Amino acid sequence: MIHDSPSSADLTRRAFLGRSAGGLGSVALASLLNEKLMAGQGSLPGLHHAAKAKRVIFLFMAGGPSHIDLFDPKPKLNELDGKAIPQALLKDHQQFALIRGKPKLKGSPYSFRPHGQSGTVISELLPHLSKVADELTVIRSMHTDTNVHDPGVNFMNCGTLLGDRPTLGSWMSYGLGSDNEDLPAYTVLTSGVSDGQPLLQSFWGNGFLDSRHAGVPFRNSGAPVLHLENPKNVTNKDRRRELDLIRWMNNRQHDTLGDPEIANRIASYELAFRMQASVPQLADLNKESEKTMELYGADRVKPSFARNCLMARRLVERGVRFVQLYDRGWDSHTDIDREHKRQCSAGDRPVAALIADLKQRGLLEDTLVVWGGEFGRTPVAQVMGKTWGRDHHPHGFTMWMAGGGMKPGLTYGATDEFGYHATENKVHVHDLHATILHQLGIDHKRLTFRSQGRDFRLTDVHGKVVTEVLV
Amino acid sequence: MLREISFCSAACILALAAVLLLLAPGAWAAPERLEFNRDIRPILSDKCFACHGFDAKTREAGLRLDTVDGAYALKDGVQAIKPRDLDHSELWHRITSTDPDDVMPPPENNKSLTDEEKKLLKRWIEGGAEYQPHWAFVLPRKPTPPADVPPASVRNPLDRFILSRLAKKGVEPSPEAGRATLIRRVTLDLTGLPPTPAEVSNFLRDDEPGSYERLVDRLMSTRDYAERRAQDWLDLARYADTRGFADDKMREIWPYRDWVVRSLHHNMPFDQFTVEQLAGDMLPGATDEQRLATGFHRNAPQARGMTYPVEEYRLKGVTDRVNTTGKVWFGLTMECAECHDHKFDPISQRDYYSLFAIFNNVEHSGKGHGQGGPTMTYRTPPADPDPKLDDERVRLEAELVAARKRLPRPKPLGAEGLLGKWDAPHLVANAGEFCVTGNLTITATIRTKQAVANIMSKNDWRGKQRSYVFGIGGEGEKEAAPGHLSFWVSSRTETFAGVTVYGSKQINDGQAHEVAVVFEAGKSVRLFVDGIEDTAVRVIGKVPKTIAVSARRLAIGAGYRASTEPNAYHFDGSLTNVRLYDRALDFGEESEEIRQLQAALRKLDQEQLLGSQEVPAVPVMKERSEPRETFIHLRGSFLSRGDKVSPGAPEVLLPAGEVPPKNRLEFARWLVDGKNPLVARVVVNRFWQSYFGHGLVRTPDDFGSQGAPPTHPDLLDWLAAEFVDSGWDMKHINRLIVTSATYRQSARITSIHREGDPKNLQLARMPRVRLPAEQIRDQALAISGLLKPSVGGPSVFPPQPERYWEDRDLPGKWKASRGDDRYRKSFYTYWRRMALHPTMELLDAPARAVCVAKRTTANLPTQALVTLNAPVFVKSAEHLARRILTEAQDDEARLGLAFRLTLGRQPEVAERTKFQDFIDAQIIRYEQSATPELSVWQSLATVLLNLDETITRP
Repeated sequence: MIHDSPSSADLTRRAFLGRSAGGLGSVALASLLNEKLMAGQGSLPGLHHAAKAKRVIFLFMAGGPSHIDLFDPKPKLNELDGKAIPQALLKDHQQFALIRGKPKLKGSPYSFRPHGQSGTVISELLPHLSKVADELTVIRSMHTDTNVHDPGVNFMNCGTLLGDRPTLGSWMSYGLGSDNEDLPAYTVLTSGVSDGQPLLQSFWGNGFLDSRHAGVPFRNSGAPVLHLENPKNVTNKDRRRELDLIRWMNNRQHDTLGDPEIANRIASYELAFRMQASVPQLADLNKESEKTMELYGADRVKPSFARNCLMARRLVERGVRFVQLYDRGWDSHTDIDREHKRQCSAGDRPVAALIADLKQRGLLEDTLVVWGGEFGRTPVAQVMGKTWGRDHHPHGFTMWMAGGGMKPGLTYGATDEFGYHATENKVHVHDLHATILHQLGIDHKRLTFRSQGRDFRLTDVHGKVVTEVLV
Repeated sequence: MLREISFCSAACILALAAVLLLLAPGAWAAPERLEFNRDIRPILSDKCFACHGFDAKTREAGLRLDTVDGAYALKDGVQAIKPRDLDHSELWHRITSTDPDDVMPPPENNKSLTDEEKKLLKRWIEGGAEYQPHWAFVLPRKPTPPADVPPASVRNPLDRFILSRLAKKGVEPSPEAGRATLIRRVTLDLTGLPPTPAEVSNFLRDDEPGSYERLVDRLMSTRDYAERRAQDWLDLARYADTRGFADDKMREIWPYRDWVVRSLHHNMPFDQFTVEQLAGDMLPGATDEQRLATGFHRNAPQARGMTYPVEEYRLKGVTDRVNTTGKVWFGLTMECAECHDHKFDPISQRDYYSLFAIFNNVEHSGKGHGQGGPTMTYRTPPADPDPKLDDERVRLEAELVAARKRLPRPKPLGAEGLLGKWDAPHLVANAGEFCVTGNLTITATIRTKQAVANIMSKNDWRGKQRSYVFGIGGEGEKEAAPGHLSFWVSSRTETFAGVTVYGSKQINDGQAHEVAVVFEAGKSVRLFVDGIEDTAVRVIGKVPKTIAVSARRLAIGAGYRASTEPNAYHFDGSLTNVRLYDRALDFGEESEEIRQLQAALRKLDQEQLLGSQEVPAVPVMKERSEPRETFIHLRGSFLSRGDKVSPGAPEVLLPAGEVPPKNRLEFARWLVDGKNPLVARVVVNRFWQSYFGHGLVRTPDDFGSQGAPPTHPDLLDWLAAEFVDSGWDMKHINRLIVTSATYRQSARITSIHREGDPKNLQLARMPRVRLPAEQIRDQALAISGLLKPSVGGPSVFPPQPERYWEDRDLPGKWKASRGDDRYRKSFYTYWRRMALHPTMELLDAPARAVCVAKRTTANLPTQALVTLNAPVFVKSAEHLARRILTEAQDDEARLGLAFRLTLGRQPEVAERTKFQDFIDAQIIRYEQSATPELSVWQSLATVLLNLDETITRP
């Protein structure tokens, strides 16, 4: 009934067997250091089925990008531009988040055309992405449960509005463990324009899972991981000397008391020391070629979404399980033209670059890239003086995925002629979660954690795998 | 060669282990009689109840296995369970069937039974398939502590239960831990701080009988003890300084936190502790303290008022109250019944919403961007009188008088800028006079006992004739402080555009006081009492650049209340020496000596003020006059209303025929009437957990059928009954636990423990527990001498990394505290739900957005980086080094002191040698540094602060 950390019994035995007179012997320590301490070994004894993807890059467009202006053209909407919204669309749900009164339909001012061999339709706002259109699996029939930002982001991450449960990345870390012992299994990178929507701890929270499964947000200023740098006047050599003495003392303690947790402590200090080297190496882009930097349009030092896209590639290259990028600034209520253009000009090129780069390195086939926000935007306008924008819209919106065993070049599902409700092949957020886990070799119904007497899962009691979008 | 040796020793140990493996389990796994609650219910609950349990809506084939009637029922000639008749028990056939269509549980549920479980079910049916009501729903009786234990090993009745069980398993308890370990263990546990070297040596010297118990009594009488226990309670109360959700704004609820500390310090009985927190506002003649206590359920997260749909977010607040109450007092997962009947426990959706109705009558929605719901203005009690501070004040004041006398001659206020002087209440004839529009000073000598009285006014806000008014008690306005100086000034007559200032001192004590206000237009307002500036004034609004001209005549000793005549706020008592100047006089131009004395007095003021201040809007509960109607929300959705329900309590907990509680107060009293089977058990279990790392029930928030059954049911019941018998005396139960022989055992893990009981369910040893986040930081501060021990008050802001909030776009700014507040206990750190201080977060402290009954504890490299590199630990190491260098003179003495401070013991010989080698190496390394000695010892201090021994409760 009680979930102890899966490795503790193991560690006990190992620590016990490997102990020699001088403390925790080299055999034991070596095996401990191989022990997947950072994320644990993974709770699953084996995959439920063959995995198509080993890792996930989730490009979170925080604020909610407009499906109507980017991926889901609606000629009818353009035709009826300026007309009142049909009441029939509104009858069975709550009102808009901010729009009040009688809003008017608003067609997209941007042109769309099919791209690549697949003919995937993409807006003129995304010229670079259009060039990799054949890699994308576009889902036009997403829907979610709320039109409020932070509950919406929580829902997209952990399947509940309150955000008190583990996030997707935590579930992955818990289920699969890590492929790289020197880096956190679940890393969060942030960029974009501040639009008053804060990034909350719950967005990368571990809920009731052990805190080793929490996402580690990389910082944009100073060292990427908190407290990574030695205090001034302390060199690595000094630190090594200190750590040797700490280890010697901890060994003695272990000898006297036989507590396996002490062996864990020794290992965690050794890993901390290694992280002090591995993380700066990771964040140092000096070895990236000029060509790569140009491809992404990123600066080697200056923080940006583009730089984060390149970091995402470097992270998955090193076996990090789940990388989530928050790109903020999509919440275009009253000036969508300016704001969406700004977001696209900063984000279009690096996203296309990421896909191309992953592909040329052979990583795309087992890396699942997911793009989308917490919801879409309304087909009606929110007018403010001379400019206009769109409000939050949860009933139908677009997300896309690439790589990791998704059917490339497919456009799946549809919204009604207004882009209002998802109507055809609807995909709920729980279904998206089920599908992502499926690609990782996990049956979403069988990745569970017993908390308070109940087996919890990411998809709660919902979710079905959208097999039609899979290869 | 090396390799061979280690292989050899590993192999020898391997062989030894194999022998132990063969021997050990037998000793622990003595066969016992099957017991439904311990052996069978967990299987049925986990594997069967979801479809054959309490929830009628999802019940398959009409079969329920959670009741004896359901299980034995004959239906279409088939019986699920026929006692003592395996062949005629359909359950047995189904669970052993190989046909995928027949076998239970169905393969698609991923819940197959293990062979061991099947064997147990077989034995149970053959033995009579006896059911028991779920243990937790049966009122505990007080069992007699077992007598079959060696009396020498018994310290108190608790030990009898533990020892008796161990004896049955043929296992010896561990010997008592060494005395140095004991004092470190119990001091860390009870106070959250390590013992000082002096405390350790005193204890080691005290070999009188009862020395340990005396130590415990001393520790339990400290504030530190109350703060440490409050830390656990605040995890349950989900106490935080912010409201939650995205805007996550601050609200001043810290007086509630201090209420918890005071109550625990005074050992408030748990029944009172319960009633006041859940319904203190509804008690007849509720005191401020009782109302303050209800902050407990105002900790529920609150969204902004404009977060749509408002009603949904209001209901989330109520849901949180129900779920929290369920966890804290029932140890049940009430939340399962929010959307449907509970799958495992007899809690219906109706039960859930009847509890919901109890908590549905307090406003709890944001107001725009601001806080909504009822609040109170709360004046914190004065700090515990500290005679030392009083003596100091008397001394300083006497010196100040002497210093004034020594001045060549007192600086006269002079006539420069003097507009008028009065020695009694007075009304100026002409409204055009004394229309000061810029800088202004008013002085007076007053003596009064009035709480509200004006000294000078040209102000009538109700009559829209605002200008300036100086007095006591701010004309009785709500936010003013009665008996304190007040000054309002506005640059507009119609509406208020200016500043209000309230003094921090009680001035209406019937003694003569020289008072003054100095207004410097657009810059500042200062209040002076007896020649000393009041530096703790409360200033609301912006200091205006001009003062409006009012049509009211200048009144001395009175004021205006919507009238052209001075009709209100008359000054009774003595009012003399009233002067008005049209400039900002400087009272500060005195001797350096006087300035220093005044600064010292100000500091003293602030120290005493820490304990007493007024907080204008503390969120508390207040029952609506008209109770809301409550409906079942189908599938938990706020839009789908089902049946209307009345307030009540879960039926399973209501004795037959008992009238259910109808409101919060009745509910709170009903909880602690001593007839509830859960409450006392749940509470004592958490006490146990805070010392042993685990409770006797290892799922502290689930006493239902899916929870872990108690490892020592009789002990749990005995403690629960003892708790109620003692008048819900919390200190009594805590004291029993820490004075038991069980608690005093050594923590050494032997192969017997390791192989036979790796989870330590039988408590044949004391577990070691890594310190909680707060205690890891506090200990480092305490050892190094940095810790500031003051109690209570607004939360503090120890420095956090630059741009920590900004990078996440969180509203607000972390303004790092200055001075002592940087080094207060972590308990007082500003607790932001959506971005906890990273030191706390990284060391596993919960953000407290929801109720937490047990923290998770990890052991991570990112945590090692905190204690190695985070500025507060670096600073602590530096201070510890300085302390060692100052307090001891040579390496040997210093090393001894360092060990005693950090670990509460002397270094052993091998350690001395090893550390001396380290010192010698570091001396060469830091030869060139500016402060070689300090660097060496700081390095050593870093080592000590990072030892497993240091951050683990032994």
